Order: sequence, then structure tokens, then C-alpha cells
Amino acid sequence: MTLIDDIVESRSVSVVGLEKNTGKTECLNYIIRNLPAGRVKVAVTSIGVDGETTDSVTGTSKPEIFLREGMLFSTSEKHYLQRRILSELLDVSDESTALGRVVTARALDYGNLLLSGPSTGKGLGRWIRKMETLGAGLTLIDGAISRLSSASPAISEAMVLSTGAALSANIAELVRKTAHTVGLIMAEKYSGPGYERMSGLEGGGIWNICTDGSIRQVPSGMSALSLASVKDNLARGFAGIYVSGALTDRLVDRIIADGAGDGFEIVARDFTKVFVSPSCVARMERAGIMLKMLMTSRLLAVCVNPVSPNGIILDSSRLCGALEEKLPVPVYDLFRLDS
Amino acid sequence: MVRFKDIVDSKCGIRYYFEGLELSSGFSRKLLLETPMMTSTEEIKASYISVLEAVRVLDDYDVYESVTARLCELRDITATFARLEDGEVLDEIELFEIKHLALVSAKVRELLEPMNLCSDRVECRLPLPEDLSEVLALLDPDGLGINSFYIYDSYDPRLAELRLVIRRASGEERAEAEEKAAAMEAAVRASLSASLKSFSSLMKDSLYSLARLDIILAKAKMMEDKGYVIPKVLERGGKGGYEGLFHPQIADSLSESGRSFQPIDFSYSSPVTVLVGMNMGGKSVVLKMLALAQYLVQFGFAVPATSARVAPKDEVFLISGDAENSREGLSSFAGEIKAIDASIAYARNIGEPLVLVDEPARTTNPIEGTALVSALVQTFSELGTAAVITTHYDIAGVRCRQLRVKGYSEGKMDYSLADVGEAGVPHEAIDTARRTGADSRWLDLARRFADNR
Repeated sequence: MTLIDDIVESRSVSVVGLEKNTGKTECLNYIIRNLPAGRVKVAVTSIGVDGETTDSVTGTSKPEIFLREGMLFSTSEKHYLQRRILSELLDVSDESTALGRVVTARALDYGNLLLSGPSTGKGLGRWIRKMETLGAGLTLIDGAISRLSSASPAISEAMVLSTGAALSANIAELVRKTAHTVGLIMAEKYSGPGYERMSGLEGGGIWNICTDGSIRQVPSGMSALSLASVKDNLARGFAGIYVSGALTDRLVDRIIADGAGDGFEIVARDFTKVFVSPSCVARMERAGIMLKMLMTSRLLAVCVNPVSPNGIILDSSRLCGALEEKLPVPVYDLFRLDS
Repeated sequence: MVRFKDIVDSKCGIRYYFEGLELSSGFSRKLLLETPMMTSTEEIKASYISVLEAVRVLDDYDVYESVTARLCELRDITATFARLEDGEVLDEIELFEIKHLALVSAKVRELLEPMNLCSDRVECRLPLPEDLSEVLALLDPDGLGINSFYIYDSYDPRLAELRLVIRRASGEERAEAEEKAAAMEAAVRASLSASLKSFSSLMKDSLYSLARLDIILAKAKMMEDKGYVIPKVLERGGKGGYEGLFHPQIADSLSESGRSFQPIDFSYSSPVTVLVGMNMGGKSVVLKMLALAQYLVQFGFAVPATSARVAPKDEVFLISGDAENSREGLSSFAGEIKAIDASIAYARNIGEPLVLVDEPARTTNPIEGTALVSALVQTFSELGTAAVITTHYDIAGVRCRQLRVKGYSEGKMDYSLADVGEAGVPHEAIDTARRTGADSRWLDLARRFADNR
């Protein structure tokens, strides 16, 4: 099973869903069930607190994560005390969530529990380091619904994306939306001039990449929000532009309007900072502009859930086939694989 | 009673000092903020002895590092103790935290005991955690000594059997066994909580001792790193003084821009000192330094000076007529008068304060202003209150010591103090203004008006 092999090779993997109920948790459970026992010590948590507590508000059942003996896991105090699994408490952190502090334990048996770990990207980064000191060789993160941030390459090294009927009931539309996101995730890594400097920059801002390889900050171009106040031409005479904050349609259109043409490079920090629409990507392609990322994530696979919560069931093999045709990564219907 | 948190944002700048302390745990920080100011000579001396003992821990860097690594893990679990004392049943997380405290206590004792910090344990001023081995025995029934916790099989032999069932069974059988096990675990927690109750105050003592140890180590570390000194603590009412006193925050910001801070010598040889000197001459800085040093001593910190002799006071008043009273709807003058009046009332009725007033009555007309300041000097003299007052007014005719800040000379700031002598209040305001590059016509006229007086 290549998905599991790829995961074992990675140090940290985020599982994120393109939409609620695209089978993200089932995907994580599938991974956990199939990891070779004893080969690697696994730690698992979720960034789910903010997004997923709304689940209990809307009344849909929140799926529990399946754990195997020996695994490390982190969850909130509340969910730890409600667990139905024998486990040994190892650490109580200062990391606080809406459901109490984050605690870490080792499963002494198999069983299920609700995961609700650190709620910020920084907190997750600290969590990964903590798990490494506790001996974990692989950390798995259950990402928040419609929040891809936990899959940021600044946090986890590799990712698995789940998609499915909940995103769209129309296979063509589902494939188009999924392919768009996958395209952004797999955008080429930038390695041109100024790479070192850009990597070291903190905070938001826009930088021109000059033809001589130097970079210089666009005055008052602190973010896309203050774009209107930027009077300088952003494209003419430059080799590219580095946007450390959010890359939006408006910003891209401005760059195109400023005369960016064939070979011009737009560099974003990583795919989680890119919020451009499929049509905007098409406009970039037409103009010959290349979108690159300072940091890239390894997308290991796309997992598919052909069943949506409102009862729509798509033809699994047709869906997988259509996705495989468009995507350069393996596509799995884990529901079918599992049964 | 003044607590550290009441003065941490005082204008004297003690927060900078506080933030520079290398405290290992947030709980120690909280405890320090709650610490009351010491006002007795004996108490302050004892607290300095503990800092000196802590220096011996610093000397063995391995021990210091191991101890502080443990102290980093300290958590405020006082709420758990309160629940324990109320007879409530603790949950697994609380039991884990108690076990963790017991392990930290044992480790710190193990690290510090061989150092023989004091031949006589009773004489030892360095707080050591209590012996919590009985607590540990309760929460570590298998004697593993590992920092982890669950309701171990050995608490109840039936638990092991049930857990075996859970592991093998599925469906309803498993659910049933899980329910039984949960009830049994709850019973174990109840009995553990009951047994732990009697250790509650011992555990609390241990937690507080560890936090105090953290604070004292941080004080000692700062003293050693920065070269601060432990002052000679005088009896109450004694006349102290400083040599080479400086202000760490201002010194640091000066050194960032490549300049250096000129330390000062100061003594409280007569009760009231009047400080004169030109504008921008560092008079306010002197007052801030004196307030800072007084607070540092009374909270048991080393002082940024080469030597210091300090008598404890009951209260420190640092009064500068900034605009902060406007929030209360008072004019700056009324606010200042109220603040000064509070210090007089304190000296008259409550205790022995140190009063530091920056340019009182500066916002009013110079004739009445001079009268108010002269009268203030006399009032504090009559009360025998230690006071330092800065002013631009000529207050001839009142008996007091007058010093002047040397101030800006040859492009350098000199904070050192000298007797005023015959010259009286220096008249340098117009020259100082000229150095800032202000309008020359304006200043030429000002010079003419001044000379005509």
C-alpha cells in the first residue's frame, strides 16, 4: 500500500479536508489502522477545536479517532476525561484551548476518543517538537475543516487531502475544485534569486524581485488590503514579485494590469497563503505568469468519499477515474478499500 | 501592605528589572507579584542570606541547570489542593499533576541536599521542598518513578481482569466491561483522594517552597550576571546612601546607542535634599533611581550600584507632575498637590516614607511656586522625613542640603551630583534651549529679559 509507505517515510503528516464530511477523519482512521505496528512510534492530535465544536452545535455526530496501543495522542482535558480508552497520562501542557489545557497520553489499549489539540499553527509546531522529545517518529495532524493552515509546510512536512461528494454533487465540478486546490498545493518551489532573503523575512509585505536578483520592499505595500495606496508599478521592469501575506485575485489582477507578462514570477509563502480563484489562475496562465511557492508541501495522496451527508452517492470508480486523470498524485476511495 | 504587583509598573522602571529575571515557571512569577514589600531590617537581611546561599547553587552549573529544568515544570495546582481539602474526588489529570509535583520535589531535594548548603538545616534560608515520598508511594504503586499516571492495575486486582476482557471482547460485552472498569477507577480515585487529603498542606508547602526557590535563584542569577550588589541593610531610620548607583534600563538603552551611563553617588545625610540643575539635566532620572533602589532592597533584590547602605521605609512616594491625573478630571496642579498631600499625611500619621518629588508646583506662578516648595522642604524637615525634591526655584532661606546634577557637558550626560555651594540654582535654561536649535530671535529676547531682572 503506497499511501501508508509514503506516510511512514514522512516525519509529520496533516490530513485536511476540502469540505466538511469529505471523510477526513475516516481517512485518518484508515491510516492509523494500516500503519505497520512497531515500526514507528506515532503521535496524533487535531487542530479541530474551533471548527469542529460547531459540529456538536449543528448536531451532526463528530467522528472519534481510532487509536492503537502504544500511540501517543494529545487532546483537551475535557475530552481526555471523557475518553473510553485505557491510557497513561504523560504531560499536561500550558497550551490552552476552549476545552481546557492540552494533555498528552499513551494508549495502553486500542479504542476511540475525540481529539482536540492545539488550536493555532504555532501551538501545533510546539506540539510536534514535544512529541519528538517523547520519542515519536511520525506525527499525524487531523486538520480543521475548511482550514488548510495545519497543512502549511511551516508546520507539517507532508499532507493528505480528502475530497468528496460533500464538496459538490457534480463529478465534473468536484474534480475542477479539487484539481484547483491540488494545483496550488503542488505549485513549483521558487529557487530563484533572493530565495534566502525571502525565507528569512518575517511578517507581511510585498517585495519586487529585480532583474539583477536583488529584492526590495514595495513601499506601503504591507498587505493586499492597502493595495490601492500602492502607487508604484508592481511588474514593469521586474523579474517577479514576492507576496509574503495573502495572495488574492485583486492583487494578481493588479500585477497583470501593471504589465506582468511571459516569464514573470509571482512567489507566495506557501499554498495556505494563496486565495486565488480558478479563473484567476487561468488569467495568470494566459499571461504566461508563473505561480511559485517559497515553501512547498508534499501532497501524498487525495482520498475520496463518494457519499455526502445529504444522501448523494457518486459512482466511486467514475469519480476516482476522473480525479486520477486530472491529478498527478494517487487517488484512493478509502471507503471501498476498507470494506 | 504594598505588594510587588502594586509597584511593578511604577515610574521608577522596576518592570524592566522584573522582566530581566530568569524565572523558570509562571507560578513563581505570579507568586513574586503577590509578594508583600518587606519593611523590617531582619526580614530583608534574611532574604539576602538566601540569595547568597543560592549563589553557591549557581557555582555548580550542572546542579543549577538540573534544578531550573525541574522548576520549569512547576504548575499552579493550588486549585487542586483546594478541591482536595473540600473532600472532592480528583480526576486523573489532577492526580497526575500531584504525582508530578512529588517527583519534582524529590528530584530537587536529591540535587540540593548533597550541597550541604547549611550545616544546620534549621539555619538554612534556601527553601527546600518537603519530603513527599508518601504521596509518591500512593501515586506510583509499582515504584516506577516515571512521570506518568493512570489508574494502575495494581490498585485493584479486579481491574486487570476487566481490562483483559475489554481488550478481547467487542460490542456489548466490551461496553459492559468498560462501564464496570470506569466505576472501579472512580472508586480508586475516591480512595486516593481521601488518602491524599492529609498531605494537602505538606504538598502546598512544597509547591510554594519550589516557587520561592525559583525566585531566589533568579535573583542570585541576575546579581551574578549583572554584577549588582547586596546592600548593607541599616536599622530603620538609618541614613543610607549609594555609590555608583545606576538605572539598568536607561543604562542599557544608552549603551545600545553607544553611550554610557554615568553612575551617581548619593547619601541621605540630611533628611531633606533639594536637587537643582538645568532642564534635561537628569534630575528625574536620579529620583527614579532612588525609588528603584529602595524597592529593590525591600523586595530582596540586589542593587545596581557598586555599594549601598539602605534603611527600610514603610512606603515609597515617587511623585512627578505628569498629566496622568487628568483621567480623574483633576488639573495637573490639583493632582500634584493631592499626591504630595498624601505623602505628608502618611509621614504625619501612618509610617516612615521615602518621598521623592519631581519639580513640585512647576505649573504655577514662580512666586507662589517658590513659596510652596520652600514650605514643603521645611514641612518634611520638621517631620524628619527622608525626602528628595527637585526644583528650578531658588529656595534660599530654608535649611536643607542642596545638590545639583552636573548635567550635559562636553556632549556627554553626567548624572553625578555636586554641592550647589554659593552659586545657587544654575541659570542655564536659555543656553539649553539654544542647544536644541530653537528660534534664535526668541532666545535672544529671552536672554535680554533675563539680564534685565
